[in-house]
Amino acid sequence: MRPARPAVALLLLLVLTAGVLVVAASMGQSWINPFHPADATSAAIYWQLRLPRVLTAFAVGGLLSVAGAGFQVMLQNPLAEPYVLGVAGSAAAGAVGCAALFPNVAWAMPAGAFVGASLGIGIVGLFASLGPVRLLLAGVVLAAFWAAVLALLLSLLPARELGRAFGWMLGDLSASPLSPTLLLVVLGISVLGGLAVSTSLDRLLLGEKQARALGIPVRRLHLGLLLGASAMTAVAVTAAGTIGFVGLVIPHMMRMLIGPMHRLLIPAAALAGGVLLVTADTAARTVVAPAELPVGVLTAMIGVPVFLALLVQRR
Amino acid sequence: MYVYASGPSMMRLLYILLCLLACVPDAWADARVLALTPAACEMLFAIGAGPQVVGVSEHCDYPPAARHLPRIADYRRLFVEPALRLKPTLAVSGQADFPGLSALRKEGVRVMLVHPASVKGVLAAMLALGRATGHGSSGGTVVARLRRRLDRLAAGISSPPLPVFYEDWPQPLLTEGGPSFITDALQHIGARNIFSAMPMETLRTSVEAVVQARPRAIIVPEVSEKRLVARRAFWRHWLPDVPVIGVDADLMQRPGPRLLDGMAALQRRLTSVRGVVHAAR
Repeated sequence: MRPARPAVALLLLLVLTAGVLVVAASMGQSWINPFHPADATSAAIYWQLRLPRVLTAFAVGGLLSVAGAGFQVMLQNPLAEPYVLGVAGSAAAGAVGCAALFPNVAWAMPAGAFVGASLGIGIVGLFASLGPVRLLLAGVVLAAFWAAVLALLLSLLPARELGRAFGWMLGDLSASPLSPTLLLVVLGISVLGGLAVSTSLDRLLLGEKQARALGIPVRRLHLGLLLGASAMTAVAVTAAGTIGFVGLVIPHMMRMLIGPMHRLLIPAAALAGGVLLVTADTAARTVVAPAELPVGVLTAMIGVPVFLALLVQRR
Repeated sequence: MYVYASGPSMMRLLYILLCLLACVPDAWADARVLALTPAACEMLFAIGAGPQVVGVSEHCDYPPAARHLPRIADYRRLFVEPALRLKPTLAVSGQADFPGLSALRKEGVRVMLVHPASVKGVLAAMLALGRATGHGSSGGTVVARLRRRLDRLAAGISSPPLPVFYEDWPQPLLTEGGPSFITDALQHIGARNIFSAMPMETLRTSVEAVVQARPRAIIVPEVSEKRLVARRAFWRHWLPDVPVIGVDADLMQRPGPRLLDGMAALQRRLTSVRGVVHAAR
């Protein structure tokens, strides 16, 4: 089956995104119509809790998904995802380390995550010149190293900090230290940046040699992709902890639906990643309300069946 | 004849033996106990079994006498070798599959599980510990005293239960559900946990859910004054008329004998909350 007409698919995705954003923000323990809220409390819940959270989820999902697409083309590996080079591990180690050092500071974990992610990216960057295969190997080994550091920190953490650490590692969109506006701006810049190099990315798909023959500065493009995609990952992780699955699967889903051309793939991945995370987070806060589930659990539970169905259907 | 004559004399011997046994303070004086949770430690000391406690967990800090005992566990696991070196006969644990416990079982150490889900459960656990350590009667006295205090707390309830939110942790927002002993403790002092219908012991919830449940007081087990101040500032934005009350975490969060102290202190604070609310109406 050929991909659907890309422009139509993108338009449908845009409509779906708008619909999901509007519905998700109104959904919760009780339905809130933002234009006719039942009382002042409902209005406050809508504008100050639900809407920022929905927008945060959208931006984080979009960032992870675009970052995943970037890592996949740069490493020329379909299994690549935002955390493949150990950024999630270093971010989590930073967050947990900071939580242990500053137990009563609310922003310790996000701040630590950002420092950890930046450190992780810096170390991986040293291996950027080795080419995709060795870079990937270096990243996987570094990821194992950070996982060990994380395990060490977790085994030293006092009991009452553990819940906090696990909560963060499974993803929490209710307490982003970065404002949704800022996150959406970062997402916008990322998408524009991706579009600016989309032709070069398409040519990179042909393989490094061919791309070089077509006049693409491959080394510079690699480094730019590594830094750009890692920075997106770092921002997403700082805002919401480590949320898996979105960055791996959404780019593949979009390739199946609208084809591999990055001019369309990048905006589509941003929208679809956002939609998946908004859907997952809405489920997380409604299915067992007034209790909540960790959002990281639901991204996979919602995404896996959809992805498998596409995989079978689009042979 | 011989047989008949030996009967009473044997009985006499038995009586003498029994009297001798009764003279020994208790038959279990050689019990060597490991307390693997702070609550178990407090219970053992409260019923008079303190001298038999030979090893405790890292967080056992009450009574002060427990602070000098060897630490043979943290909240994660039992340190098997140092524990066995203390030659324990009984280990009191909060969970059946506590890592390291099976090694103790294999060495013939008796394991008692103490994980009360209610205030009455705390009292029952103390009685059971009393029996297991040979302090049945002193344990009974202590428990009877606690039970009288519990009755007095119940007598202090005058109006319908006050809905409260118990904030275990702010980020992610964690609270207690129906099966938790804290929910039960709140009930005994005339308060109702707004999440008592939830089937989990602890659960993650949201600001939205708390706001919509309209609690009349928010209870924060305080770790530091700074955190209490921060939580007051946070909740004032969402529930401006609802007081945020700090309770001593060591009293409220441990299912031990001092839970009654925590409950009494909290009841006094809640009574004043009720007073304010009534006056405002």
